[in-house]
Amino acid sequence: MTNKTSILSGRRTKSLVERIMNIIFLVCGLASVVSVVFMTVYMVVSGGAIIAETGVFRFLLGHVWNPGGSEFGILPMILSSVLATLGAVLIALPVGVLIAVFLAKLSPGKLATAMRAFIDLLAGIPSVIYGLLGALLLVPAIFKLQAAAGLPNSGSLLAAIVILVIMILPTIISVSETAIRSVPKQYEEAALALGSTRLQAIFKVTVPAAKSGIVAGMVLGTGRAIGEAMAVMMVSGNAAIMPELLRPVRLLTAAIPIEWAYSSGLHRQALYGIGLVLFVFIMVINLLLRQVMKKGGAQDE
Amino acid sequence: MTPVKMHTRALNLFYGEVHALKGVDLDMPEQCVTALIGPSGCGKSTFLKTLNRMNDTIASVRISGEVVLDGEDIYAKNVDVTTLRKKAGMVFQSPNPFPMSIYDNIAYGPRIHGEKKRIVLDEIVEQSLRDAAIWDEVKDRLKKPALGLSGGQQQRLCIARSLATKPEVLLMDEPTSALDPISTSKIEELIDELKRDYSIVIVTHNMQQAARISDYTAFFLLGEVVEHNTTGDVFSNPKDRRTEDYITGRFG
Amino acid sequence: MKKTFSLILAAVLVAISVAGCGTKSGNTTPTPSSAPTDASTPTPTAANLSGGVKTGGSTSVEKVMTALIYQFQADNREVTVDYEMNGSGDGIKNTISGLYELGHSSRELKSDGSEDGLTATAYAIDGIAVVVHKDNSIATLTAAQLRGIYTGEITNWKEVGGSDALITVVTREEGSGTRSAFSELIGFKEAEILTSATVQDSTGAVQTTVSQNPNAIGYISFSDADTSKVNTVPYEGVAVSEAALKDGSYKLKREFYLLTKTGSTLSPAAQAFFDFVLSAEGQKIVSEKGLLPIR
Repeated sequence: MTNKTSILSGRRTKSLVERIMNIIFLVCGLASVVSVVFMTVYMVVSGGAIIAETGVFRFLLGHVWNPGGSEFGILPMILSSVLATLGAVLIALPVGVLIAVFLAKLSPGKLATAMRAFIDLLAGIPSVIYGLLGALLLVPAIFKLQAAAGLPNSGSLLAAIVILVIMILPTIISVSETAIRSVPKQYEEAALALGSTRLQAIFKVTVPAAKSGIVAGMVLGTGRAIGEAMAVMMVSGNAAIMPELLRPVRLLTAAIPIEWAYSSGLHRQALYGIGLVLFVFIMVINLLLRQVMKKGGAQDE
Repeated sequence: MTPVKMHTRALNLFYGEVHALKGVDLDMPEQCVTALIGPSGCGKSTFLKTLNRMNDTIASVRISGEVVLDGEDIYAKNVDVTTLRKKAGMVFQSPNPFPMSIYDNIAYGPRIHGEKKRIVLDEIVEQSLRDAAIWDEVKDRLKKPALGLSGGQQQRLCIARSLATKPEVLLMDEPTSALDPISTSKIEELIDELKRDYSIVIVTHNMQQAARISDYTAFFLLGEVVEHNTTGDVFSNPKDRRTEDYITGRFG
Repeated sequence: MKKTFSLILAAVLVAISVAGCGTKSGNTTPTPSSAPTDASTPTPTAANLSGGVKTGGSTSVEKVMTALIYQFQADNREVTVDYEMNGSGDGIKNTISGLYELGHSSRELKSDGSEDGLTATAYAIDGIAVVVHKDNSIATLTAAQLRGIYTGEITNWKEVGGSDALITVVTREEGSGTRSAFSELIGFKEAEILTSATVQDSTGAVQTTVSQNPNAIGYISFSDADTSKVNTVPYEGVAVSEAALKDGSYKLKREFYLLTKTGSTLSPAAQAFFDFVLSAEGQKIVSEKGLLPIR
């Protein structure tokens, strides 16, 4: 005589709990969507005022930033931000990937562990400390270059780039290292069995296979670079002029806090406008890089 | 007497304290298929990997004895390992094509050995794919990702990839154990073709496979070669009691 | 046990944050952040004053004025002091018209007759010091020289008697009261400031920048000048000091004024505030905010 147990659930509370949890999760998810939507709307509305006032082209392409004289051209700042971010990423990406390869594949265990701890520490240092050290050590070191070039000593685009490189390296390194470590070992094995040297196997097979992870690290790094305000404010000199490597520059991010306190009326609206421009930049970068990652992922299918 | 392509003498291998290979003497004749059979963990794969020095990548490995390819000791001091591996190609148990296009997979070997000319590479790719009996199936999708192929196709691709470096020896580590019967038989046919031009050493769990395709068979047990003879003799006339027990399925 | 403890802790934290939010907010401008660092306990007043006092004017006096208002309101809980900030010009105009009982100005009244009818009472002195690197021993700079430096006409220290090195000009940011005072006193328009000048957004930042750069020059509030970090440059031959500011020999300064309509009487609340600003307690707040008290 076999046992017969009913499969019908006798407890209603279990499904009630599930439903409540589902609702809570939904609310949380919606909250994040709502926040982003709200921020976007707020930025567009408050930043749009200056654009309506001065016109898109005069705002974005104007050379002169002189709020006292009602001139609100932010082209120098846009270019400075673009160059600083580009410069930082172009340097930090290869350096970061090489360090990640070293940590993941080439260094003896103990050294790698120590280095990793040190790099994680770097990632956690607040921007203002970087700014301080930059102002005290980096900027004076660049004075010599400036003197040689016949320029007055000051903060510079170069200082901003160097600081940004140091700030985004830890992110790029740890994300790339994780990506490289998760590449299946079989690929490297196969490469070795075909007669590759260790380095050939790593750089021709493993690193390309880790591409999407490395790109993710690059996205994070770019995001941090373009959004950094405090540290660059302390080393870049904040002059709103067209960017040159050894001359002071003002990045979009620094432009907002530096004049915020006393601004009012059109001037303040212009600062909101800068915020909107930054916002748009970051959105565009994110979308572009997501596209690149999608394409890269599809290729691996 | 068929000339011997590779042989080992008094080969001992230690993984740290573990004595994995014990005084292995084995001849692998030219243009023949030598099958290595035996229960799990008996050292067959380890032995195979000593033939192309893939064990070098494991830090705790110590080796003593001789492994000779075409009269040269492959563990000698001035041996270029990358050339060795060009000469002795390996196919692994699970197909492992690179996450690249089919073309780039095949061209990988020649490229790292210095070939740059497009025309030459094109030719090598086609020839290797033909030799691996997969050309017709992939000739129209050379630029597509290799990972889009089926398991059996991927394995033949890996064989083609190994052939692209123009090796003289093919080392195959249970190449069909992850594949379905139809792909398996396709590959067995392929091996039969390939032995005309290559010397093949194949590790297999599948005794029927060994019986089907190999000329010589070596039975490994606990790191030693218990018996080594022509396949016919090993299977119908085993000299050692242990061999007979294994073949008849009493263990392993 | 652990659960009850966490619940109690959470309740305490919530209570604290709620209590922290519940400070009295009187009117538009005074914010807790500009309150005196050690908020003194309210001193009891003899007559309990009440009512509203409308004031308005300069933005430059904001820091010190909001602190004074905050303390005055803490002492006299029935009084609210309004402080509208639309510039000294507005303050003067609206005090004449009677809209404000008290006006705020960071500049002197014009003597051309257009601002007659007002009495300006100074309650604080804002001295501006010109600073350079500790190794820079420039003896003095004139207004003309400073104008040249800040507008970019003079680019090398040797043109003003220093060594052969390019001058690094450091200035405050657009909107800074110190910047507008400095440019007005020296005699150039803010728009004329060298576009490649380094901009820092606080006196502290200016001082740090100058202390790091042997060829830099900057201007900061005198009371923040730290001579262990930077050298102050005598202006027109006069070194900056409290005495020199008080006796008028050092001219890079401005005074903050309370404006009243000449001849009219202030309401009790307004008069009390006026007296408070000039009292010892008020003057203490003035110096706490980095200015020189007038007394």
